[in-house]
Amino acid sequence: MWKFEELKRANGNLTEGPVWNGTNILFTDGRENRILKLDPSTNNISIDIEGTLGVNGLNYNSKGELFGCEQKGRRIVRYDNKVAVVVADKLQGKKLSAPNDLAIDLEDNIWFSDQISSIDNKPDLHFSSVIRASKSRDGNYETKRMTFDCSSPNGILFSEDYKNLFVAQSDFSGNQRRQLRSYPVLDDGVLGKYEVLHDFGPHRGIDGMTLDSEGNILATCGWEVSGPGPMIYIFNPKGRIIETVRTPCMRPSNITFGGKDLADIYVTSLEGHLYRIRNSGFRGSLLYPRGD
Amino acid sequence: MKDLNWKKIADQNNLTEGPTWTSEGLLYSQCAESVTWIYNPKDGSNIIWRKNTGGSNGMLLDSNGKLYACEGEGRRLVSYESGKDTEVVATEFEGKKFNEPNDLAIFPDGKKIWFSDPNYGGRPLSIEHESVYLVSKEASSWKVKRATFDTDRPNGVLLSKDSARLYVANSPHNFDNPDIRRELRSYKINDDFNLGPYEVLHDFGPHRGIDGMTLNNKGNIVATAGFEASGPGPMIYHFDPEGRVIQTFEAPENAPTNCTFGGDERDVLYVTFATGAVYALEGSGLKG
Repeated sequence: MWKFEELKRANGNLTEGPVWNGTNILFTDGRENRILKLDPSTNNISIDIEGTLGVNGLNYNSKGELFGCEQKGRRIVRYDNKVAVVVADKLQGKKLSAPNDLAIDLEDNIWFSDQISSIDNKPDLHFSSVIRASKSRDGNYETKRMTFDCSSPNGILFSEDYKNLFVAQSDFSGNQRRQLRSYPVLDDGVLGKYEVLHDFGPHRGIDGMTLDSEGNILATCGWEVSGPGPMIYIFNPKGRIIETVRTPCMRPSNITFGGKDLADIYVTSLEGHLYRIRNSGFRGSLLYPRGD
Repeated sequence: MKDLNWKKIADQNNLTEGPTWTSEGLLYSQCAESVTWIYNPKDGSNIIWRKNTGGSNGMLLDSNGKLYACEGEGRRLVSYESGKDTEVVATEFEGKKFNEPNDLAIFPDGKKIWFSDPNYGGRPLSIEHESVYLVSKEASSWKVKRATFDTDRPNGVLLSKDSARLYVANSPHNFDNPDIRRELRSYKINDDFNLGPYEVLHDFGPHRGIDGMTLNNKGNIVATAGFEASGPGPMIYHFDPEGRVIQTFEAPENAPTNCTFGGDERDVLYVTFATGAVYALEGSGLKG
């Protein structure tokens, strides 16, 4: 049985982007443009970075540099001593729409989901996609569109061997699908044809994902409106559901491992929670910090 | 809890189906041979129990222990009793013979039987749709009514614990067509026993969906699904009535076709396979 410790109460502001930096959990409150910090030794939560432009997903590269998806700022940034430095804000010369979540590969290229549906004003791009920002020789990042068949990509995650990119296609509109997809990363850096690992039918699909030490995918999915309800799914890399765990919140948003030996699980929610689960039996696998 | 233990109890030449636990042992169908076998767990023997069963597929006992069977090749719903001639329950709808009766569910009063009528075998369709039917006993005769109007290819059917819902596996093939769905559906049973709208409990995406299902003592659905060709593989799914996947058990062979609980404690899950094998799964922690 998983025990959910409520470390932050719901206040209606979506919490997202939980990441572990070796000492603290950082997570985002995009509505207040803040990154919050949990000190797990005291369970005290404080403001770490302010003045973000609607930050959502966060992640570290292999060097421990913190990157964020700024939805309102329509850009990917690096937080350099708590100051946002723009990494990418355009694709094919046009402004990004609303970056949502990101995954970073072994070469520190940044792969992120960009959604036209999450933007209030008129988007410059006419599609949602997964985009890669790769560092060129001059230190700047170049962007390239990587998916051509996702109408609304959300959480993204690399497989244990970095040979597959898991993408949550989570479109709520019309006849679109909510699926967990696995794209092979081909040698020339492009993505191959995806496999459907799981289909959520008419119900809410995946928001965020993290990897465990066995290569399994832990994903936050579901809601109170329909289907089996709000849940953490544990998928093996072929999409087998190993376990499902009901969450006390109605709409879990994202998940990460942290703490000693990456043995604790942290979950955020659309309602604004932060939860911790100890002794789940699962351990994490992060690009940074690498466990001992 | 005992360790999960798959034991092969039979290995026929082709697809087995319709596992049914009786006081004498496990009955199961070998469809292509039109043979029904009985497995005796005491001595491990497999003996032919009945021949010329018309491609019998799904089988089920009613609450009085009367055995019903879907004869796919024979295009009919029947009842078998050892040593007696086959009793015909239903053969046609609106003057047309059924396509290929596959699987059935029986209301607790024993007077209403839902069965699926897909067309997996590839014969020309006899009825132009593949639907679930309700057969009801009125006086001494059985009346046939169409129950679903929105299935592509129904397979396993199962009543919920309170008999208020009918679970239907809509399991067409056409795996390359992204618009064809393989779903576990839950249909509301109205007071007049017509079916109301369905909810999708689970979507199998482009992979093999559910073939057969059984209920456990908690009212959860235990289902056989998946294959080696794509997706998570051949699997036993354990769903709650809202479609939550509580757990999955990897199946030891390709394409499990159906399952039922048996044994003195009803804690052995018997599973038939498209390969012809029949397995007993012990230590699952589940009971029928």
